[in-house]
Amino acid sequence: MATDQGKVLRLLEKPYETQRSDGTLDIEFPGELGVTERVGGTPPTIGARGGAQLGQATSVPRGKAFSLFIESHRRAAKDLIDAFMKTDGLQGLVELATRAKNLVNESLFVYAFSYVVLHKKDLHSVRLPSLVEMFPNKFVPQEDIMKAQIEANRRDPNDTAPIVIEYGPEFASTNIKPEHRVSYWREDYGINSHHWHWHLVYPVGFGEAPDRKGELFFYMHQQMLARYDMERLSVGLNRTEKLENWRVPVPDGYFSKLTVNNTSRAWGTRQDNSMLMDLRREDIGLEPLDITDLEIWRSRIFDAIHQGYMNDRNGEKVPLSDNVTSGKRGIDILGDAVEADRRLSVNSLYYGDLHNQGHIVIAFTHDNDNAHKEEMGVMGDSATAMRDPIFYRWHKFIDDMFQEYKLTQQPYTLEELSLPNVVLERVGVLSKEQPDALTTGWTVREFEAFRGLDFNSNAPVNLRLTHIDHSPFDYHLQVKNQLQTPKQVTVRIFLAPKFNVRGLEMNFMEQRLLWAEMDKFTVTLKPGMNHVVQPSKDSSITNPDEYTFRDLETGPQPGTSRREFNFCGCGWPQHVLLPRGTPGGMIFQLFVMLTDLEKDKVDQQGNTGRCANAVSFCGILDSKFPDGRPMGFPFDRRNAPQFQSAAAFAEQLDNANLHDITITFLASGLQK
Amino acid sequence: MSTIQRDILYLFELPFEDITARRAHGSFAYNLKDRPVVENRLGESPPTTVVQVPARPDAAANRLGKATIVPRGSVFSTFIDEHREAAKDLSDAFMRTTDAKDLMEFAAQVKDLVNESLFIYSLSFTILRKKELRHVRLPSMVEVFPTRFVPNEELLQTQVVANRMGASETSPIVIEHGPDFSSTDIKPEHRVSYWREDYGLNSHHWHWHLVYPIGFGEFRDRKGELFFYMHQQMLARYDMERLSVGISRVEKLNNWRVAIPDGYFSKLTVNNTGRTWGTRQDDTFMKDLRRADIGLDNIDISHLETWNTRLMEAINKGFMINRSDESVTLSDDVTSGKRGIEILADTVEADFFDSVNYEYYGNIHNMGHVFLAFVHDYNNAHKEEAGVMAATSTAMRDPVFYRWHKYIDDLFQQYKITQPPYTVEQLSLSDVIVNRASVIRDGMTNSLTTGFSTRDFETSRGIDFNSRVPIILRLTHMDHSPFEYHLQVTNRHTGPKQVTVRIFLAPKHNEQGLEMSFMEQRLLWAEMDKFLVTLKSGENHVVRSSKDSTVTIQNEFTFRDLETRPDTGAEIGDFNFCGCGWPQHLLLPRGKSEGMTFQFFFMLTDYEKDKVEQPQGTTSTCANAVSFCGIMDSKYPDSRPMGFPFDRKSPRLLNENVKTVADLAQLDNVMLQDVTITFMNRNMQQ
Repeated sequence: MATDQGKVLRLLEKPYETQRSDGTLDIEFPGELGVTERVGGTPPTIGARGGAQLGQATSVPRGKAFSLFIESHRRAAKDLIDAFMKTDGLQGLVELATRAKNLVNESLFVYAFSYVVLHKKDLHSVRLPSLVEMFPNKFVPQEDIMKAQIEANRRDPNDTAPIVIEYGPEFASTNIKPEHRVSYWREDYGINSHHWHWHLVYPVGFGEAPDRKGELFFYMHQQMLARYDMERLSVGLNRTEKLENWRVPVPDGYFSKLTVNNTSRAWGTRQDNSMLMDLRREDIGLEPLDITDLEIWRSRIFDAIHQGYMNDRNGEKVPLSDNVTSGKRGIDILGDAVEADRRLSVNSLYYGDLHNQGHIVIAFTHDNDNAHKEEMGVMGDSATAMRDPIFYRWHKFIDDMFQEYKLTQQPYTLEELSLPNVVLERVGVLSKEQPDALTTGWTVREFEAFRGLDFNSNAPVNLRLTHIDHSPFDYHLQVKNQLQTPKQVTVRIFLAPKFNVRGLEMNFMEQRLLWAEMDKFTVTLKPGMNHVVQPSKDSSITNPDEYTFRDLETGPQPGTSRREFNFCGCGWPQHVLLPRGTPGGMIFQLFVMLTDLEKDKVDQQGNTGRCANAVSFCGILDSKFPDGRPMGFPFDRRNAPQFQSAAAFAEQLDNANLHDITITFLASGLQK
Repeated sequence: MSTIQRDILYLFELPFEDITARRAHGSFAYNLKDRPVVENRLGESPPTTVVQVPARPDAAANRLGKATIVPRGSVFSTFIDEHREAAKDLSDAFMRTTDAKDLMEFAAQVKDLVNESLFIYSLSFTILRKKELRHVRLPSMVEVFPTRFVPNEELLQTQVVANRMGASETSPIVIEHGPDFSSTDIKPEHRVSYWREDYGLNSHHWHWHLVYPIGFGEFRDRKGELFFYMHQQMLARYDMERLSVGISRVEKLNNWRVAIPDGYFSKLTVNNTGRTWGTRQDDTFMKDLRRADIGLDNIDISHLETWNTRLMEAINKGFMINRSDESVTLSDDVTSGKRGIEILADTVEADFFDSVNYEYYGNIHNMGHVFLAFVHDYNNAHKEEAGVMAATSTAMRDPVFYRWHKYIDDLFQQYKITQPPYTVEQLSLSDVIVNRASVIRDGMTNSLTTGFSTRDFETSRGIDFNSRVPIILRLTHMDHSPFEYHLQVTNRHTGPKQVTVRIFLAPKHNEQGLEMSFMEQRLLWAEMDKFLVTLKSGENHVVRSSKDSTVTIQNEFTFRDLETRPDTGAEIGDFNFCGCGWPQHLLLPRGKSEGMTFQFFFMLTDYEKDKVEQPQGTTSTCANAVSFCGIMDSKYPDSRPMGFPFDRKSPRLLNENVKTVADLAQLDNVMLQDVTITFMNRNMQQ
């Protein structure tokens, strides 16, 4: 398989194995690198051959955790990416990558190489395989993987029937702690894979700034929290509480059971009631950091929010406002400063690195000073962080800062909200011909674990993951266009639980942060009545299932639309589009709003529209974010006095509609 | 190797693998009628020895009592009641077999039905007890369970190398481990990790609890007292080691309501699928225990506190209360029956059968282990496995083991202090004079050296790496140059005189560099040797090799040692030990690089007063480390209270209290000698 795709896949297979020419590869190896590196061997240096300079790329040791939240690791990634980007054509990239693979940290390699595959112009047709297959150990407990290894060791070598690792829906904890009830969601492979991809598409500190990156950092994470809270309400838990007191014990611990590498180095664990501690981990290139530093950064950022401006490096005021006609919106400025991106922050020395360092402090609560030679916890890796309950508490705190800012903005005016002459008369969903009744349940997905790990087995070793899913459905809209001409509109669909944890209906402000964006698309309304149908699978936040190695080896199946093949890994997993609901049926509200495309649209200068499947969460590669409104519109600001609830909102605006639907969880398994 | 040894030995190989898996480098297999021997692997020839194992209806899972309640692949803990009951049921079933062959067949049939560690424990226990298996020896725990001794990551790195290895490779893969251990020197406790994580130390502790099990209803002479003494001696040695590396003696863990400063992350695994032992962060609180999932009753810290109060009540009042509400006097000066220390220790450890009143005094030592093993997940919220404190083969790696046992020892010492000091008559030996005593090493007098050595084990005996080449584990451990004790003794009796020579070692100075009073130094004295000498009338020159110490054993047997062991002849000598015993390589404390001053204490006592009449027909099997392990099926061979003469508070000599040990050395039968121990920080084998 000498295609471009094939060469890329070979490099992403078995990340922990050193690359060697075993006859099945058609990659040319430089002589001295063809030999397998044994454990403990000294790697050859690439620079010595007069080739590319890898800079700090080798500073992250192999076999250990790689963290985008650590500045020195980000620099290593940038240096490797820069070296890859400078190569000439695919052949040049493959040659350098083949040599670099044996020298740099495995997760760093996959990250940097994936980044380059997305960004190199001549690789536009190449797709990335699922992270689950590259790093099964980041998705499935070590014990389950080792059982497969043992099975492989014991097997009759002639037996080629696949060895299957079944995993889920029993997860890393027990229901003794209420937090366990949402572990099926936190530990979902698609969610964690999405988060890794998102941070791949929107990296920090690489200099290049995708359009509205800071704002999308705010919005995408806010939306994940809204969805997490919907899930929590589905299983009878309270909404997430922000982690804003860093001087008291954190009640919920986390033991991932996962490993960092192929030699079962365990991710750090966190006991219940652990204290966050001042960080002293110079051993992995971190500067000492105190909780006090975080507190100072927080207080400065709140100063900025409440004063309405930040101070840049020259001491000049940078006003924060979302109502701007040019330049960055306030939320975008704030997002970059909080995340924080050293190159984009208004003043990174002053406002610090709050979001990233929080991840790191939390990732090391169990061994803050390396007394026990422990690896960082899952909070250190974007591919695993969302498994830990504390991820949501930390991001709830981060989101709370953004909301504090958002509440300083003027409520939307009637003019901004309304769309004259367009009446949204009726909305609803239809699933299996049932109106307004959706169902969720379990399904399984198979991956090939041997793509990532070497089991030394003649039989394939597969991974069978049980995950939450739902029956597909369609949105149906009845819209009257009272104009004499066709009208292009943006359809915005949101979903939120109707009742709070006490079973009461919520006012606008209480429900505001629960609204999860379900879809956003444009339609052209003909004059008169229109019946708009939109399948749930076409959601602007989701991507369909990720590609397996096998999918990519065989190429798109006949009949696969270009749209279906046109995504790049980033995007909310389609199977987690709906919240679980309850076995008895849980009432949610569908909120649909139409806005004027004339006001929404963004001028794209000749972009290609690559990787445009999950635009609402991931934007479009190398293009502007395609919606001119502030992200989260219309729920990102406080309500105007006349809209005390979402219902009032829908009643008073012709272009909005609210409709109750029921989501029923079928624990017995999903019939699609 | 005898056939019996062979057929039993391979039951210890690959404990996590199916019984039908190939053993002895593929040359040996058990053939169970209904479960054929596994297929040859690529490049493997058929086994040369196949032992036929007939079907055994009596080996069905439902006929093994509680033996199957401990799940396979998880921790087996002799500190947990239910696990002990499982071990007892399995051991009883093994004991019911009629002979060695019968045992082998039965054991082969049940192996895959019971927890792997439980199986090894019960089988080992049976081999030590069954008369017809007296000549069968146990292989080293390091080879049976490498995962308890080496971090999983190192084992897995080896697996990766084995997976990648070409078919033509024949040279063994070597895993080197140590002297870098599971923590870093950021915490002072790390400085003694080379000692806590020593393979011999942990192996000894496993063996000791195998020889002195609790709750089996088996009589062992002075078991309770030996529980006290052996653990007290381990603490004395730990403290000597701590002073050698410049840290203070261990502090007892007696406040269970405050955070424990030192955590522990063992990096070890419980089984062959990488299930990790529980870990403990620094500054963790002990929690009320809610682990019904592994058969533990709910228990609170208040229970420990209540038991502690009742035990102290008994110690301070001088008697315990039995189940019939009668007083049981505690005194070490008894002419018959159990000594007070024995009664107390059986109650503290605690042995359900031997405790004076199990319901009232509880199970404090065992439950302390269990509490500490579950501080990280006391309620199973995180489905975490027990910490290393739960297993005797790993507990001594954790700094908290010593703090817990210091608390337990403190209970015993509170009692010992209530006993009357030894009298001059008890301490002296008339007409025997020690003129001079010293140690000689390589011709040097009173100057000993320590350093590091390595020992190779074959890891692939315990874990299946699916490798064509042997996987060798090379462990770096403390060691010392061997030495001899030399004593010049005058016997003024006209005839020969049998005496017991008692040798102890302690640091001369405390943490502040000051010489210690008798009472301060008392608990630091480590027994080095204790042996019988017949002094001829007049001058005697007694020479004793450090290798013959009655606390130590030589290196444990590897599978290869046992495979190449001669069938007859030499057995009685080199092979006459059973795994229990302090590791010879840890006989000496490390000392300091610049040399550290210790005191050797030599005391001769009258064998007539010390000796114990052994019942008829007792053999001296497994009698290598008698001071720590006793003699199999025999009485403990020294009638004095264990730890004599340091187990009680300072005596009075010449109407004066003994202030320092030097005062005691004024006795003719006692000699004190300063010795320097220098840590060379190099390989002692070179």
